[in-house]
Formats: sequence, C-alpha cells, structure tokens
Amino acid sequence: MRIAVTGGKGGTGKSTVAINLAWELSKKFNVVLVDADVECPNDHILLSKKLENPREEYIFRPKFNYKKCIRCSLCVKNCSENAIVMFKEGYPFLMPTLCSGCKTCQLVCPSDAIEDDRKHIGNTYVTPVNERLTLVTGMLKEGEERSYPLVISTKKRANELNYDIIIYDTSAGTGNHVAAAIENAQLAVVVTEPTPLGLHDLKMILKLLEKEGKKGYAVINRYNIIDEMPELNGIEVLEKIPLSERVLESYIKGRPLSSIFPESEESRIFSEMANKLVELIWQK
Amino acid sequence: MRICLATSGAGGIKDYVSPQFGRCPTFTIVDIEEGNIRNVNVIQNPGAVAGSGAGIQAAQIVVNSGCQVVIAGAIGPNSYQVLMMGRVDMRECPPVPVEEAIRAFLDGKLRPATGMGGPGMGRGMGRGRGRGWGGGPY
Repeated sequence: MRIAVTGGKGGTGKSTVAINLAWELSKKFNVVLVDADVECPNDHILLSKKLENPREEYIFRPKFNYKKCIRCSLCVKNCSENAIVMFKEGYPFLMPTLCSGCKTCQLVCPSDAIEDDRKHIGNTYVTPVNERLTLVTGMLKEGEERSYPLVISTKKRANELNYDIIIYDTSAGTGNHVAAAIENAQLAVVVTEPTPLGLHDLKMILKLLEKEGKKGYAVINRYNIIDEMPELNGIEVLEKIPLSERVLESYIKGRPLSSIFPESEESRIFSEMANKLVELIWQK
Repeated sequence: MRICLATSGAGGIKDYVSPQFGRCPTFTIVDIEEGNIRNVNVIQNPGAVAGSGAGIQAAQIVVNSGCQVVIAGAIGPNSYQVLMMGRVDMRECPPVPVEEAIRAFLDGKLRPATGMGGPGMGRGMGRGRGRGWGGGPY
C-alpha cells in the first residue's frame, strides 16, 4: 500500500501527520516512511532519531571528449536547459549550474564524445525507528538548485526495502519535486488548515492530484481555530485534528502522540485515520 | 571593431539601449571604422523567448556574430561567463539612444559590466563556475 502525505501550504502539519500515521500503521504492518522533503527533511527530528546509513547520491554530468567531438552542435541544440555553449570556432562546454543531468546530450551525440561524469547532489539515509518502522530520508546538498533528482533517488532507496505500507511525506508546494513524491501513491492525505492561506494552497494541490489521477482525502489540522468550517472544494474529510497542547508537546518532544498520550483523543484520531486509510485502499 | 548593443525595441540606431542583456528583444550590431558608425545590423535575440538559459543563448549568438564589445544596461551572471569565454569587452550603459551609447563608449565613458546584473539564476552566483573549461582549443 502506498500513501502520500501532502498539502500545498507549508506548516500545516504534513510531517506531524506522516510520522503519527506511520507510527500507528507500524503497530500492524511493516512500514517505510519516506521523507521526500529533501530541502529540509525533519521527520527524524519528530521521531527523535539520528540519521543512519548515509549513501551519497549523484546525477549525470556530461564530460566532453574533444578528441572524439565532431563539432556537430547537436548537444547544444538539444539541451533544454541551454546549459551547453559552443562558439563558432570552438568546442562545446558546459555551464555546470544550468545542467539538470538529463543525459539528452549523450543520447544525441553521434560520435560518442560525451562521457559519464557525475555530480554529488545530496545523501539518502535509512534509519530504523522501531521494529516495524523504517525511515528513509533524502537530504539535498546545501545550495543545490534541483531537488527533483534527489526525490527520485530517495524513492529508489526506499524501494530497496521490504514493506507492507510505504508513506511518502512530501514537501510543501506543488512543483515537480512534490509530483515526484506523489506519483507512486495510491491515494493522498492532504493536510490543510482552515485559513485563507491553507485553503488557497489546498486548491493548488488538488489540481496537482487531479493531474496525477490520485484521489485526495483531507485532514484538517487545527480545525478548532475558527467557528465555521469553510468550503473545502468538495474534498472528502478524513479526520480533523484540534489545536491542542498534547499535539504541541509531542511535536516538541519528538515523540509520536500515542507513545506519550496513548489514551488521548488525539491518539485516537490518528489510530482511526490509519484504519480508514487501510480500508480505503483495500476497497480499491 | 564590432559592437553589439542590447536594444529594447525593434533595434537600429534610433532604438534605446535595453536595461538587460539576456532577455532583450533585439541586438543592434554596428561596425566602427575610424570612429564612424558603419553597417548597422539588427538580429533577434533567441534568449528573449528561451525558457531557461536565456543569457547563454544570447551571449552565444553575440560571440558568434564576431562582436568584440557588448553594451547593455546590465549583464547577468550566465551571459557574463559566456561573453568572458568569448573574450568580449562588456560595458554597462543607461537606457539612452544607441548612437549616444556608442559615442559614450568611444569616449571611454562606459564602465565595465560586473556580471551581477539581470536575473541570472537568482542565487548561487559564481559558485563553481569558471573552472574546468580549458579543454577546448580556443
């Protein structure tokens, strides 16, 4: 079973929902939680874990062999990022920060003049959380301009593990790094809050989900900060989480709710959420 | 000497210098012979409609047109790198008519461009660039 936790707006509680959901599901299943928010991954902080088993991740980078280059300029013309420059009397060379590592130049080169080079873009980590829960984290190198390739690497690393359920915790926004984290999921948990900002970004993420052909279910976080629930664009509501000191304490202490407040209303909400999701996916 | 001016309209001697190099619509290219303007040519800037790497395309066509000097309001970091590779003298100029800009240049009144203008990549300028390009026989 594959579930994405997303939401559009930042700070709505995506990671809080993701770690608590993963924790509840791990009581019955083998769960892999993928922290695909590679620009600032922090599920491990919410679980009080130090990241383990680092692996360096790379993307392709062209290396020109000028002995083989016939100066046909096909690489220049086919580079969608315009990252390759060639002057009239010269040979092609790379503008490194513009290169996305797509390999098109290598594919179109008729003389095998483009060799493999690579660039370190960040690390992935595999951290055991409990007997049945493993956290896979992607962490982009500071200053790196593209997060999409590392999201793909993180997903690949997660797929090397055995699991019954995989949860993708995406970053905020609706860009291709979020789409990449969502694309393998069977359904999406959309965490939002009843504020104008939350609702605006909810609309955007719903558009992305529609494009990806995924059904989304809303989790309204801090639902009790307003009296009347606004219109939610027809999305089905899975659960509502109150603004509560217990949630805050669990967040600050870096411990899942049911591990410190097992009998609380909030723990019950996450446990129900987990059960509902399992049912929803089985129905499919 | 061949000078390229980033121009903000249809180009030509009466047009104005564009505030930016990479995404200006046209380049007005002139030859200077004994201090006089000859052969005014206008070319479209491929960078004006490029998705990313606008400055790279713009700079490439300017270098390939054989220009030794570029005059623009500002030159972004990517354009700057490519123009530097093409050994082009880059000068910054306010949005004045082309003719006036050329006079100012010939009188030595235009200051060298810094490569910090324009949008460029927005962040990370200068990191890791300018290295490892020595392979080509220029």
